[in-house]
Amino acid sequence: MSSKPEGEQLGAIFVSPAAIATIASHALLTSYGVVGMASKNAFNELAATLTRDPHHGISVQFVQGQIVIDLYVIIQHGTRISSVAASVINAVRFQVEKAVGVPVRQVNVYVQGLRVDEDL
Amino acid sequence: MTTPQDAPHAPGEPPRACDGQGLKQIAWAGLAWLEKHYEQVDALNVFPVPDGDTGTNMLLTMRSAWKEIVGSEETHAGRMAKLIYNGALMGARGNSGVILSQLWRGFAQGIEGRATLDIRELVRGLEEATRMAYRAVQEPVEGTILTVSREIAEEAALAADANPDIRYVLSRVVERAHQSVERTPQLLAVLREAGVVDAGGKGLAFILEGMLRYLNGEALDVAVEAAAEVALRSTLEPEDELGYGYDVQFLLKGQQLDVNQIRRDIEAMGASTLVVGDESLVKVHVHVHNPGIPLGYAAERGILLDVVVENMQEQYQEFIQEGGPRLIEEQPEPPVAPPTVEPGTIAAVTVAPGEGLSRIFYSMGAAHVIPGGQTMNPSTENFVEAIASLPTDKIVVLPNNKNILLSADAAVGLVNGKDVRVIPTTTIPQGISALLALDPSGDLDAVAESMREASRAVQTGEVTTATRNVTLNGVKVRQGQIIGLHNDTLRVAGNEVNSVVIDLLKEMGADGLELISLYYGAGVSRREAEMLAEQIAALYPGHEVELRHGGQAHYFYILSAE
Repeated sequence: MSSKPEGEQLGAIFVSPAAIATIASHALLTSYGVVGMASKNAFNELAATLTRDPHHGISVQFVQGQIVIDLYVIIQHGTRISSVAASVINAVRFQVEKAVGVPVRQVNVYVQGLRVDEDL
Repeated sequence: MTTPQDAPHAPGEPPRACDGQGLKQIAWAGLAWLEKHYEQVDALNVFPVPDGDTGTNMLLTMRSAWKEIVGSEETHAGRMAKLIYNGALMGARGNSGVILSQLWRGFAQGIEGRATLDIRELVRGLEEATRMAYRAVQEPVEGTILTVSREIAEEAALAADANPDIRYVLSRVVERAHQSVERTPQLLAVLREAGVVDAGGKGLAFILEGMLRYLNGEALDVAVEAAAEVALRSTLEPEDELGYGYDVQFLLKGQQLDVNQIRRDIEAMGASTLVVGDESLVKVHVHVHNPGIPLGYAAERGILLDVVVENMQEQYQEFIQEGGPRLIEEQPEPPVAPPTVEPGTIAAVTVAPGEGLSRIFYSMGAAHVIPGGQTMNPSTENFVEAIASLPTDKIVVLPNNKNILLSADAAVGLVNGKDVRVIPTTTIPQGISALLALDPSGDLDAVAESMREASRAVQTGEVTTATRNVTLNGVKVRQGQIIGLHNDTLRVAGNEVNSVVIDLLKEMGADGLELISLYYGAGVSRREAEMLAEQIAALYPGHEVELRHGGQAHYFYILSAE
C-alpha cells in the first residue's frame, strides 16, 4: 500500500485520473453525436465487454503536471464529425475544469468508428 | 449570405402543392426568419464555451442547407429534402447545428420517395425527424431542442386529425413550439438558474415561425441593400477545423479608398472579417462561400495584390476518404531541447505556465524551465530539484510570478555547493527581458544586477477573464468580463478580448515604445491571434510587433512593450 495516493499534485489539489475519467464519461453520455465508446484495440474491446468498465475508451494522463484526456469514441454516421468532436472537446473540458478547478491542457478525440443504423 | 436574388420566385405567394420547389420555398422562409432573429437566440447562451452561440450555429447550418438548394430546380419533394439535409450536414456547426441537420435527415427519410406531400406525409416527416434526432445521443437531455421537436411532432399529428389544412396544422405547431420553449426551464436546471429558455428550442421555433409566415403570405422583411443586410459578427470563432467555404485574403491598392465602407461591405459577405488599412492600401480577410464575390468587389475598386484563397476542407469528406480514426485537436509542436550547461557558467532556472512559453525560454537559453503559473505554482522542492540537477554551481532563478517568489527565495540556501541568485521577476515579459541579459560566462553578481535592471525596463500586460465582480482602481468589473492588467495592476475591463488588448496597449504607453510582443494563450486560436497582431501592427505602424504562441492556460494574451 503506497503512502502517496495515486494521482498527481496540482498545486494544493490532489486528483486521481479515475475521478477525472468519471467526469469525462458523464459528459460523453449527453454529448450529441457520440453513440458509444471504443478502445484502442480489439483485445481491450473484448475485455471491456466482459468487465463493463465505466472508463472504457477514456484515458487520463498527467503530462508535466497537466491533465491530458484521450477519448476513443463512436460517432453516429450521418452527423458532421468535426462539429461533434469539437463539441465533445468543449463539453469535456468545461465539465472537468468546472469540477476540478484546474485547466485541462488537452482533450483529444479519436473517432474509432461510425455507427450506421440498420434500416429503421 | 442569403440575398434577395436568392429568394424563390414570387415570395409571399405560398406554394399550392408541397413539391420539391414548395419545400425549397418553405426552407428559405425558415432561414430568412432565423436570420432576422439569430442574435436573440445567441443571447440565450448559458455555456461559456467556444463556439457556443446557438443562433449563429443554427443560422450557418441553415445557410449551408440553402446554398445546397438555391440553384436547384428539383420538383420531387423527397429528393429536395435529401438535398437540404446534405447541405445542413456539410455546414452543421455546434451542437444545435448538428441536431438541426439530424432533424432534416429524419424529415427526408420520413418523406422518402414522395414527390408531393399531403398533410399526413408532412406529419410523418416531422415524426421521423424527431426520432432521428433522438437517436444520435446516448442520453438525450430534455428541456432542449429535442423536446421541442418531439412536442411539435405530437401536435402536428393531433392538428392534422382536426383539420388537414397545412396552414392550420403549422399554426398549431408554431404555437406549441413557443409553449414548449417557455417550459424548458422547468425541465433543465441550468436554464432555470440562468433565467433563460433553451436557445436551440428557440431557434427551431423561429424557423417554424418563418415557414408559417411565408405560407400565410406575411412579409419576412429581408433587407434589400447587400450592405445593410444582417452580417455575422466579426467576433465569430474562426476555428479552422469548423471553417466553411473559403478563406480569402488580399491587399487592395487604390486611391481614396473608404476603409469603413469597404469593411461594412465585406462584413456583409461572410464571416470572420478583418479589414484594416488606409485610403491607399487595405488588407482584407474574410470567410465566404464564394470567393468571387469579395474578389470581384475589390477588383472594381483598385488593384489586387497577394491574393490567397484557401479551401477549408470538410472534415467529414476527409474522414470518409481516409477511412480511419483521426486525431482532432491542434497538434502540439515538438519540444525544444534545453541547451547543454558547462560547469562554471551561469545557468538560468525559470518558470513558464504554458508549453509555448517553455519553448520560448529554452530557445533563449534557459537551462531548465519548471512548468507553473497562476494555479499550479511550483514548490520550493521543484526549485531545489532543478538547481541540484544542473551541472554548474552558479544559478540565477526567474520566478515570473509574485506568488512563486517566496518558493524561489526559500530554495536559495537549500542546495549545498551552489551559489544562487533570485531575480525578482513577477511577469513573463520581465522574465524574458531578464533572460536576454544573461551572460553565462560573466560574474554572477554583475550578471544578476544587469538581469534585474533589464527586467524592470519592460511593461507587462496580461489579458484574462474576471472570476468575480470587483471595483479596483476606479475600474468596475463584472464576473466573466475580460480584464487587462498593466504590471499586475487592473487597468482595463471590457466585453471583448481584442478591444481590451488594444485599450491595454494604449494604457501601457505603447505609443512611446518600440517593440510590442504578444504571447497568445490556450484560449486563443492561431488565426485569431494573427488577426489581432495585424490590427495592432496597423495601429502602430512604426513599431515592431511580434506574435508568439505561449499556450498559457489563464491569460488570453500576455503583452510586453519596450
